Amino acid sequence: METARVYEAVEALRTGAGFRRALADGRSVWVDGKAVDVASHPLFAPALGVVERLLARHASAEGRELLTATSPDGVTRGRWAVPPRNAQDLRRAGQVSTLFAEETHGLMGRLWDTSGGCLAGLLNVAKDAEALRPGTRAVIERAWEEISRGLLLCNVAFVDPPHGRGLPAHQKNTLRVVERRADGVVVRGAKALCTGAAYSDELLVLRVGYELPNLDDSAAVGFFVKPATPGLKILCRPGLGGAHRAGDPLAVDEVDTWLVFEDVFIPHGRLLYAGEKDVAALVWKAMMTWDKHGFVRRLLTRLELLFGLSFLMSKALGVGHYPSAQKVFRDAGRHAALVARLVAFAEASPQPAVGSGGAVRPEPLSLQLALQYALEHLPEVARAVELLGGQGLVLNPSEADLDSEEVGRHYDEYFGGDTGDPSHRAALMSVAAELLGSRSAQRQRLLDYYGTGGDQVLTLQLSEMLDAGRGVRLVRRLLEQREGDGTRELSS
Amino acid sequence: MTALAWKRVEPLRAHPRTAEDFRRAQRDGRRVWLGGSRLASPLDSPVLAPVVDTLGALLALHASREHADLLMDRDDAGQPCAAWSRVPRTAEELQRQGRISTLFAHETLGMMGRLWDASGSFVNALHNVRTDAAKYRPEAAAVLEELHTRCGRELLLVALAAIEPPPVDGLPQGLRIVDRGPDGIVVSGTKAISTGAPYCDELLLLKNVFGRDALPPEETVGVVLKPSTPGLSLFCREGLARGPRSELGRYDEVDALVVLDRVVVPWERVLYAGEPDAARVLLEAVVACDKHAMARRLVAKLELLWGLGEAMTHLTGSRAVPAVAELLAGLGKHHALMSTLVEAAESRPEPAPGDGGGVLPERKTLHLALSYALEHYPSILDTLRLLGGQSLVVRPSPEDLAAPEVAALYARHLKGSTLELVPRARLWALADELTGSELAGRQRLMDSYAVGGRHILERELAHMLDPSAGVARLEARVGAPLRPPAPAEPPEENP
Repeated sequence: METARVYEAVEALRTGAGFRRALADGRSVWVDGKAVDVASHPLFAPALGVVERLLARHASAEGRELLTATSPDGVTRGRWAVPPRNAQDLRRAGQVSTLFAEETHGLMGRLWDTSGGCLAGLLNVAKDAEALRPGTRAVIERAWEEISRGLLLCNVAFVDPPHGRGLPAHQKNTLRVVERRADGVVVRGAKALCTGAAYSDELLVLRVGYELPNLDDSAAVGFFVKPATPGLKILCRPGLGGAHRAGDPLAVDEVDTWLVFEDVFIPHGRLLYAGEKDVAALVWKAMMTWDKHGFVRRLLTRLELLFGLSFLMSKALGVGHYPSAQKVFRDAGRHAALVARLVAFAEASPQPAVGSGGAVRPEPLSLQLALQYALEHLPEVARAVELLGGQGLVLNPSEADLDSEEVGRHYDEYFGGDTGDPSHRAALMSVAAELLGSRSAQRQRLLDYYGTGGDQVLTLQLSEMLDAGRGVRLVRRLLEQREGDGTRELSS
Repeated sequence: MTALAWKRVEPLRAHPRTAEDFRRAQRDGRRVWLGGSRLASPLDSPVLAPVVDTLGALLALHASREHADLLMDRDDAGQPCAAWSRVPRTAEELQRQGRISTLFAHETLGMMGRLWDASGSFVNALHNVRTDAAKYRPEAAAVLEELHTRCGRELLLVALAAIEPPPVDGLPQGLRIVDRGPDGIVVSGTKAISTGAPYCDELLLLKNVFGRDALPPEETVGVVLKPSTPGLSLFCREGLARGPRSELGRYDEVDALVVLDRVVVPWERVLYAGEPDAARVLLEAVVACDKHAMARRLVAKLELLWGLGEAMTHLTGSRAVPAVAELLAGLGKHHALMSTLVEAAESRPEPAPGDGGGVLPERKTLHLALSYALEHYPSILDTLRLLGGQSLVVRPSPEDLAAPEVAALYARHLKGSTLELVPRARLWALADELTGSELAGRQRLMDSYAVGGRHILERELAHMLDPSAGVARLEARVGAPLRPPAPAEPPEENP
């Protein structure tokens, strides 16, 4: 295989046209068994549209200040990649995530805020990694420089394919180094579930931290790679459907993929680690810290969206005066307000991030509580709003129905609800059905859950953050007061 | 535009109705619309035709050696009839009805809630209150008798339409009598949602009078109509299946808006026309009977989902992980608990509304079962999504596996079990549809909506639960009455 390209110079502030041009680089992308052109295949049109719109926001007068940052030496970068140093920086990073979530209705989790956060996290441990593996710092700093200046979209691949645990290690085809050369390594194997890889500019391939103790050194490999690198194939899932019109803001589908590496050469200039498990563990720890901030901001946007939706639906259905309908939107509002307060507090109380780079992160316990609370209550809010919609969500006239003279007149007569306009009600219900029950919405819900490991993992993480010390001290004092010194043994 | 009167009683059939009979019945000129266009018949729609085939397959079970004993019986006149049309009078008969629901649920993966078991239970419930309704409208008894006999002997599928459309400017939009004559009434208006109406044999349209002040007589109307009745139109929602790849498309029971445009209904098809007490009796009977088949279907569905969890973890090899084993045990527990509650409810029958001698499963236990299922169903889906994880999102499509280059990559990298790639990919596709498709979402919504959601179920349950024993013990202990005055009834809501 040919040597993968190291990094290339990119234009100063990127445009949608530039992004589209970059896709014509010969990447090997497959859909339904066929090699396809990403720029023209309909599966990717919604995601490319979103990326183009958001790139335009970076350059717009109103978005530029929030989305970009210019350093004293005059270099402009995506703000999402700049490591935050204080509470104000954290809040702005959060506002960037909220802006992206609002643009995509919370249905895309892999945009610049996520990859930028990961890069900022990497940059903050660059010196620490250098101490363990000389050369890694330069790789990180160079990648950060190129991606942040070029507004490149970088997606992370860390999930391994589902392997039977009964298989011997050599049959598992875990991504691993199969050859070492003077100028780099050759890797072979697969990564499952890399979202957005087909239209990414860069891919960051990592090893999951908790698997490291069970792996041999050859499987501990992490690197940056261009999607067009020879030997790399990107296999996509089919589209999620939805009857979207051209330009429909609800047409959002970040395509999930498998990455298959068939003897892909990774030059040292792109290699983060190859056999150094301590570097792999450090990088993983840094990444995990940064991923949650944008995640929570996105969930908050979805809660707010459901709050608004429940209010409008109850008006359109004429049920706003029922106590149970009022409870639905009151609960949605309460949950959104609570998560918003927790996030605001976490951002206002920064703590040092992993690594010695001087960056900060939101206060972890409040952020974890916000994340867990949002994940716990989002499904319940969605179900309540769904029940509020009831018949309207199941049986909603299509545009063709309303346009048909014979069918449309019956809907005109019977289906206006309190607004008296069936097309308004149909449009609202159609948006609600898309946000609550579409395949895109279901996929996003699954990935929200899967992405955090579900309740079990979240609770485990939370239990490590919670400190029962104060309560234990109070109980001990109480025991001592009641029983005297005789209970010391018990209370200890 | 006049509705057809009941046709003459046909000679007895040597065999139960066949799939072909059912298909033929679809070409009766019914006015079914989908996507703004009128269909020549449901058989000409890619959305409806597969569902008609599924129903045909279920009809064939009635004549099969394996299931005829369960599904067929004889009526009081000694004529062959469907077992689901026999009004249950004992625990054993209730259990038999339950087994029929379970059989239908197994055959349709629990995705269809409006099959012969449900429609038979509506008709049975109405039959059980026919003499009670006759006190307020004497002619209703004969209409119900005819409907019951015919459905049982001819294996007719009845679709229920009881939900009202939302009001416009505060004014109700439901059915209303616009004219009366010596031969019958003329009805206009709409019913908001009727599942299975496009392919049913009879439509049961009941004005919902719950939670309302007394309706004007012209808005109190209940009728039984053929779908092909002139002036009656059925507007279907779009299909929810994912194209030809869908594993569940054949179970997409299509919901429809029912519109009556000056439909003449002969008296022998009118259940009530201005008699609010007759309406109340009939509606209460239908609402009371609705939960048995649903509970059985949910048990079958929980069993299927439990099996799905087991199969998925077998494929991913994750069963040995303690947290996964715990999640699987949770799935099994939900099924076992629900199943036990339903069996308990069937074994302790209570009199059904009416004086026809019919019984229903014990209401409190059945309510507890449904409330439990609706409470835990979302978390069961979350568990399955977590167990399936990445494979529910990215997995090879049939086209991927048919392409040699891509199939070779999957074969090399997607190892993990001895099962071949094609059935494995099919299982993941089925799992994805059962847990995350619009079709599954609709079914979950309808399960909840049909009973008014958990808050209505729990409010109903609150009326069934009695804390007086505990209160009496406390009263005895403190020597003073502790019971608060009975609270006023909360205002009813139309769920």
